[in-house]
This record gives sequence, C-alpha cells and structure tokens, in this order.
Amino acid sequence: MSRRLVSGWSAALILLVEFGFFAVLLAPRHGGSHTFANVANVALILKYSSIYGIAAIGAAMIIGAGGIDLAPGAVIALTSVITGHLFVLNGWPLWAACAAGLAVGFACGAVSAALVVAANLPPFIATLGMMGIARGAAFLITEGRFYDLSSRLPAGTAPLGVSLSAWPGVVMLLLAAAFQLLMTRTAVGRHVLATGGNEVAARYAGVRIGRVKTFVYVAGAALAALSGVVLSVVQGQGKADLATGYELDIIAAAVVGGASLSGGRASVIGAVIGSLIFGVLRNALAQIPGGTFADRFILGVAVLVIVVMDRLATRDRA
Amino acid sequence: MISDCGFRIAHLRIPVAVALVTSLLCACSQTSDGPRTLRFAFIPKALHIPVFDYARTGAERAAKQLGGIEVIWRGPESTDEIRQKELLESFIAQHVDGIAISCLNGDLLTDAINRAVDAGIPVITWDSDAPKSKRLAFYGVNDVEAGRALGDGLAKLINGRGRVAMITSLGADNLQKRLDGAKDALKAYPDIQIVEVFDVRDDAVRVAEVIASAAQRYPDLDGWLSVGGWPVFVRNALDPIDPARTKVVAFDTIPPAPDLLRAGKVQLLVGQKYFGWGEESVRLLKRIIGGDRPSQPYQYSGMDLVTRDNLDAYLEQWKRWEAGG
Amino acid sequence: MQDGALLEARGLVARYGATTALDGVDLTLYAGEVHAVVGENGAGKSTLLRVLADAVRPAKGTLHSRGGTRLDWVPQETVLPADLTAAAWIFLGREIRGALGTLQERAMQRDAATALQAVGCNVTPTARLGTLAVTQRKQVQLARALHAAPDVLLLDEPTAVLGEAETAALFAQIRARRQRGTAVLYVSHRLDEVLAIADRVTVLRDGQRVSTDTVTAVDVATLVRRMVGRDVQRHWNAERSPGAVLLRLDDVATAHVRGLSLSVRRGEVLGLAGLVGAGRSEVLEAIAGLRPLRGGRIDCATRPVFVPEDRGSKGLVSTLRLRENLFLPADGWLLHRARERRDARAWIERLGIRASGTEAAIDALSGGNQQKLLLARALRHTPQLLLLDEPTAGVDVGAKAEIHDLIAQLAARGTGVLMASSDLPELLGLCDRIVALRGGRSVAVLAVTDATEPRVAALITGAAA
Repeated sequence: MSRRLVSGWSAALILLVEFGFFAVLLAPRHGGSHTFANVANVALILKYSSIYGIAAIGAAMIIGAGGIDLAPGAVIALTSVITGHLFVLNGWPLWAACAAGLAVGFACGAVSAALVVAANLPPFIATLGMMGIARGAAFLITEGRFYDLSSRLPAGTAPLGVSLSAWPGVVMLLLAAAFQLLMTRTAVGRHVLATGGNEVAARYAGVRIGRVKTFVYVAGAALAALSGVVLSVVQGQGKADLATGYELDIIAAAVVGGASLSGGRASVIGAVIGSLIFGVLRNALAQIPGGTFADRFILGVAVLVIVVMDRLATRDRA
Repeated sequence: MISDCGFRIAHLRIPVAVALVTSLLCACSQTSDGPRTLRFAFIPKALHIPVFDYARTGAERAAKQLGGIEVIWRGPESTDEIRQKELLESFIAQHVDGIAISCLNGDLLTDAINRAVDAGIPVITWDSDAPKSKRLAFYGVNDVEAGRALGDGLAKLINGRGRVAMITSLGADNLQKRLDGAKDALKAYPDIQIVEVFDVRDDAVRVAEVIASAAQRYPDLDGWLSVGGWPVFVRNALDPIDPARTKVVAFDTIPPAPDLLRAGKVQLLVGQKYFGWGEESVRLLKRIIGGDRPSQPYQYSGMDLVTRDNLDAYLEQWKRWEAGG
Repeated sequence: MQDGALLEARGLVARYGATTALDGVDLTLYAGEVHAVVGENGAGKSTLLRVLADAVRPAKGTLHSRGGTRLDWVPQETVLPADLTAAAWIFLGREIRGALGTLQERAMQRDAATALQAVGCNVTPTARLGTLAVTQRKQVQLARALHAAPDVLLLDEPTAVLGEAETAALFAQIRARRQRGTAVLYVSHRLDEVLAIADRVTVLRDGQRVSTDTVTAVDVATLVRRMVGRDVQRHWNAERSPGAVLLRLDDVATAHVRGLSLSVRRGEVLGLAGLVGAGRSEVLEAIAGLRPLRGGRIDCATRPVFVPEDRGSKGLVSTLRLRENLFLPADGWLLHRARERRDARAWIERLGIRASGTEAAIDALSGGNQQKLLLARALRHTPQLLLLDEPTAGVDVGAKAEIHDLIAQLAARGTGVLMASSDLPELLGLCDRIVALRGGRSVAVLAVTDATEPRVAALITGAAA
C-alpha cells in the first residue's frame, strides 16, 4: 500500500480512537443523554472543523508539492469581507457575491503563484507577503466595521434544501472526495507529489514544474476563499479580523493528516481528518471539568506527540 | 527492518498519549459530586483579559455561597469571535443549566443565543450585551451613562475648551454605546473639538503605540478619553503625556489604574462592578431557574467615579468586595 | 580474534523486508591490507559495508573488532548538504577550536586544502558543496574520511564518478595509509582498478561469499566468471549505417563550453569524452531544453529524451514508487493503474530490473537497477534521439553489459544516441564516433576505428599523445 494511503487511514484510526476515548470519558454519570457523543454535537464539530478543513485540503497539496502557504487565514478574511460588502452594501444576489469572493481567492492564488514561479521567491516569503496584503486589504475595505450578512438572510434559509448549518460540513466532505480523487487518480496528483519529492528529477523527467506550482497555489487560495464564503454566509458576518492565525492550525491539520514538510508526501483525506482530530479535541476539552487554561497546552502537546510519532514511523520504514 | 506492523502500533500511541495527559488533568480537577448540581457556563470575551478574573472570583464565590452550583469558566484564548461562538454552541449542545456571556460581537452571537433560549437554557449577558437577542437579562454598567460621565468629566477637567482624542475598540456593542454617550456629552461644549478616534483593537500593548504616535501628531492635545481600560492596564502607556498639559479620563479601576491615578497620570476613572459581573450573574441565573424572570432585561449595576480625592475610600471598598462583603 | 585482524565477521545474515541481502558471509580484515569486495548489483556489497559500519543490524551472525578500532565509511551516494563549505564538511564534528571554544576557520581551511589536494582535488575549501560537480563532491567525501585517519576505511564505489587523475591520487593515498597499517575495504565494479590496488579480493554472489584470494592469483575473466556464474560476452555489433542527421550543434556555447559543433545521425552512437568539468552534462541539458544556450544554435529534428547522470538527485523521485517513476510524467489526464502495472512488469522483464515488484520503493533498488529504471522511463517514449549522461556509472558488470546491449540494439533499429561517459572502454565499445572535449572546446572528433584508449585519454587531458 502506498505510504500516502496508509497515512490517510492511520489518521482515520487516530480520529476514531480519539472520539471513542472522549465518548467514554465524558459519558454521563447519572444517566441522561450523552453530551458529547450525540448527533448535534457531531454536527457542531463538523461545522467548526470545516473552517480549517476546507483550507487544509489546499495546504496538503501545496505541502505535497514542496511549498508552504501562510496566507489562508488572511484570504478567508478578505473573502468574507468582499462577499459581505457586495451582499449587504451593494445588494448583489447571494450567489453573485459568493462568486466574487471566490474570484478574489483565485486572484490571491495567482499572485502567490506568480511570486513563487515567475519571481522565484521562496514560498514562505511569498505567501507571508500575500498574507499581509490580503489582511491589509480586508482592513482597508472595512475600516474596522463588519458586514452583517445575516441581516439579509432570512432565518431558516436552506440553499438547495440543505440547512445553512450543515453546509460547511457537506462542502468539506464533497471537496475532500473530489480532491482525493484528483491527487490519487490523475496525472496532476502524481506530478504534484513528484515536484515535491524531487523537483530537479521531476523537471528532468519532463514534468512542467511551473504549471504544477501555479496549480497548487491557485487551488489553495481558492479553497481558502471557499472556506471564507461558507464562513461568512453560515456565521452571517464578514469581518477583517476573522481567521487570524488560522494558517498554523490549517498546516497542522495537513501535517497530522500525513503531509511531510520536506515535500513529496501528502494526503487530502488525511488533512480533512486532521482538522477533525483537532476539532474533536477542541470540542471535548471544552467539556472536561477543570483546566480551562490547560487547553492550549494539551493541544500543543498532542500536536508534538503526533508529529514525533509520525517521524519515527517514517524513519522505521525506510 | 522494522515490520510494517510497528508503523501501525506507533500511531496507536498517539491517542494513548492524549489519554494520559487528559486523565492527568482530570485527576487534578475538582468535580462537584451531588445529585443535582446546576452547571452554569461563563464565557468571557477572552481568557487573557485581566478584568474578567474578578468576575470569575465573584461567580465562584456566589456559587459557593448559594450551594449546588458549578461555574464552568471557558473562553477563547484570543478575542476570536468565531471561537467564542463555537464555545457557546458547544455549551448549548451540552445542555448546561445556564449561560452567562460577555459578547465579543453581539450580533454574531444573536442566533446562537436565541437557539439556547428556545431550547430552554436561560442566557444572560454581562459587561457586553447582545441587544437584539432573546437573552433574559443584561448585567453591566449603563454604557451610555458611563460614556456621558466620561465626557462630562473630561470637559470639566479642561474647563470646557480644547482638543481631545478618543480611544476605543471597534466592534463591541458596549464600547460603541460608551463612545456614543461620550460624544453626546461633549456636544454640549462647542469649544471642545474631537480630533480623532483611535481603534486599538482590544490590545493593551497597541495603546502605548497609539498614544506615543498621537503625541507626535497632535502635540498640543488637551485631553484623552478612553472608553476602555487599555491605557491604564499597563504602567507606561501614558508616559508620553504631560499631565500638566493634557488630562486623561479612562474606564476601569483595576490595578495598576489606582497607582496611575495617585501619580496623577490619569484624573478620572469609571469603575464597573467587576465582582458583580460574576456574582450577580450567578444569582440572576438561579432566580430565573427558580421561575423568577426579571421584568425587563437591563439590570444596571451602577458605576463608581473615582478621582484622587476619593481613591482611598474606593480602595477600602474594593477590599471589602474582594473579601466577599 | 586472529592476530593482526582488525575486523572479523562470521555468518552475517541481513534482510530488507523479504529480500535476503547477505546470506552467511564471513570476512576477516587485517591491518595494512587493501581488501576488495566485488560482485554484481544485488550481490550484497553495499549491505556488507553497511553492516560493518553498524548502520544496519544483521539478523544473524557475529562481528568483532579489535578494541579501540576506529572505522570510517564513505558511502556510494554523494548527496551532501548544499550550503556547507568543503572545509566545513571535512571538519564536521571534529572542528578545530581555539582556547575559548571558537572555531579556527583559517586553520581548518588550510588543513582542508591539504586534505583536498592529497586526493587530487583543486576545489577551494570555501566552495559550497551545492556548487560542486559530483566528482568533486566525492573527493570532498574522501578527503573527509582520509583526514579522520581511521584504522579501518570502508570505501563504496569511490571511483565510480572519478576520472583517471583523481583515481590515481586516491590510490596514492590508499597505498600510503596501507603502509601505516590502515585496513581498507574497497568495493568496486571496476575490476582493473581492483586488481591494481587490492591485496586480496572477495567475490560475492547472491549474498554469499564465493571466494577470497590474493589478487595475484586471479584475473578479470576469473572474477567476472565467479561474480556472474557464467561467461559474459562483451561484444556488440558496431556495424551500423547511420542515416539522416537528427541533431546538429553549431558553435554552441554554454556556461563552460564554447564553439561546439557536432551532429548525430539516425542509428549512430556519438560519444562525448572529457574530464569532469569539461561541460558534457551542460551540453546534454542544453540540447534537452533544460538549460539556456549562451550562443550558437541547436537544430533538432525530433524531441530528444534525456537520461541525466546522478540518478539519486537528478533522476528518480524517491518518494514515489517504481511504477510511478516509470510513468513520470503520466500519460494523459487520468491514471490507469492496471495498465501501468502491466506495462511496468513488461519493462522490468525486458531490462532485467531486479525489484520486489512494480510498487517497489526506489531506495530498495540497487544502483544498477535504478539506472535501468531510468532507462526504461526514457525508452518508454520510443525516442528517436537519446541523450545519455554516464549511463553505467556505479553499475555492475552484468548490468553494464545488459545496458550496452540495449544501447546497441537501439542504434541498430535507428535511434540516434549521444552519450557522455567517463568510461573510455565503454565509449570505444559502443560509439561510432567520439568527440573529445577539453577546457570547454572540442579538440577532436575521432571515428572509433581511429581511436584507442590512450589516444582519447591524451586528448581530453592535454597530455602528450
């Protein structure tokens, strides 16, 4: 079995064990319904994990291609601002405002790609710049205000018959399936991983490195933009300071899901599962009595443990 | 040369590690055992804002006095509205018995608050309100009045004429109301001109930057008015200001604000009922569960206007609050 | 342990997953001897070195060394950190420090320069490893090991990427160390060299020790027979009639080459001979479109397929499987895994690639098999023009012959081949014409019938013919 496949499944294993563990730990003592292992709570976890999960799909591909992207949080915010502005202030129909938000995401991705491919900047620097530009643009546009999308969305709005709250999870799962197929069954996927595994060899073999990199950075930004659109519509607000610092959580989700920061290995399914692993952890920690301030500590320790174990496992197999 | 099996086993160690760490923390926590403990969730704006620590003290003390109540204190690590909403929704899913929340963004939380109330969970807000929601009560200062007090106070300090700058943080409803109140009060003084309103984004570190650069830009400023406590949460934010030339009025009286007041760096402070946020919220929730709903939501706490003259008396009162009087 | 022995191994068994790499090998290494180990790829030579260097734990067997014996190992791969300088690498872990613990840069550079010169390397000690050619990197590796002056030196294919002069300098060093009692374990495919430098030679085949003799008791033919288990034919049909011109270079200039003109016809094998740094790889890369031209023009009637040297860093992607490397870039948009597996199996068989299957990891393949895989990837495109850069570097006798057969067959069927190689016998055996490069210029174009090894060597080094 290819290493990538195993990563995705072992991440699923971790998620199952984690969920089971908390289901047991948080089982109600005096009868009554389970506060953790119930449908509503799972729906909640899905909803909030999707903010990271959708963008983590893009992060997995970028890391697989040997790059890195620090801009997703800023792109999420900028997209929410654009969508909010057009929908609330300019009165655009919802679909058009969303499409415009997505278009902005594509534009951000194109700029990042140009900086990395044409200007040959290291991805860290290029996307760091993009992060500043996108976040700055969002603040410029809003001047500190926010757009209340919920004011124009009647309660009980259910586009295509799916309630608004369920949209993030549905979108994330659909995208996960689509991009997993792309990465494992198409030439694009192989070329992405070849570029990340050994860019020189891939180039010598005839892979169009520039196109591959452009693809991953544009797709990554588009996915972040999609996350921003979904966020602004479902949560009802477009604001410039949303998703601050989320890029680290997004990258962590991709890495926990099997992406190797040295390039050449990544799993889209794994990244989505990674975001769920953290989502479950956040949700469960909120239910454990005591230690509010230990939450961040536990999350940090968990990330370290996972990554260290992954490193050891990779080394053993070589 | 290690078999593929070892790879799988290695990955099982992760959940075990998580389990160990969490169990350790659970072992350190105190769980209240009892047949029918009421669980009240308290959600401050963020965990790192010092003002809210007093609320926690007040809440836990009231819970102990009344008995049979567990206060679950949980907030986002940074002022992240989405995270705060996530926490609120999590508590709704957990079916806690009551929720008391200081809203980072009242409009964003309105939907969730309504869902909680509809599901039978009483929700009250403190310090920062969600006025459009179905919350059953709001406990805090009358922000508009408080803003007016600040405005009037500053006007009197500068004898009704001069240029002033304001400090706020955009987004929170309570701060907006205070700002409106202050501006309204200053309208009565036609010789007072507001040169600029600065947004410090709820960051006490940023306020020092803002004041320093403003001192460059407006060297002849007569007064500063801050609707939040940021300038007095740190010791040296007000250093660039010459107190003989420029007067400062600000919100909040928690340390080191009293020291700054005594040193003359700030002339007027508006104190909120910090312990009351916690105490009163617990009492309110208990009463609501007992069937006694307030007739109207606004439960104004009153405020304290503190100057150097009444500072000592105020500090005495503080000691009594802290002890539980 | 026997007298004078520094290392004694008995019954070593080593396995990689399901493959048994060593199957009960005995070896004794004495102080002051150069002991060569030869064998086909997959015979277990590199694995033996890894076990002796303690990088791999044997499943069975014992290994004893005399107390206090220090051992240094120069592996076959030349992948080094690109940003370190040569001096930094030579002194890594054993830096010269001053009184306060600070690094003594000048002393280290001075000593590094001496160490480099001893192996015939003219690289400045402050050169970054990333800027060096593969030959120079190998020399830096050797300089580091020699500088450490261990009691036992393990060398894995040290001359695979070295030219004549560099090899001579290395041998001088080895002889000097031998005098002083150092033991050298020398793994190589180059049997002539082995007979020149070693005292004893051990032959491995399929993980087992076939024989150990003093070097005077054997010759190349005997060794080959023992390695392969059969007599290897080294003939190929060089009677070809080249057709139309496929490739023409007119006054081409690259970073290190100027004024190069040559042509390659259908069915012709043209050799590029030259020392390291003569610019052969650059020329091939420029023809393949991977490098910009600085002058002149290249006319190519067809799209050439390029097989680079240094397969580890420029050829194969180690995070992908065998099949995925073979089909890189993939054909079309969708991947057809079943079809790829079928075709991969056919290629594995056709080229005799020894691998655990179509999903084998690249790191599990020996050098020769990796090279065959690279060739398969190239041949999949049925190229009319094939550009080869050191196609048999670090490849064993048996595989080398197979690859030569393959090239000959391709030429016979009309493929044009442009081949850069440091192996003069290889060029003389395969090519129709040979271009000799020296100092970035073409100094001669010889028909193979006019060429002899000494003559070509003289042309590329500039020594008197």
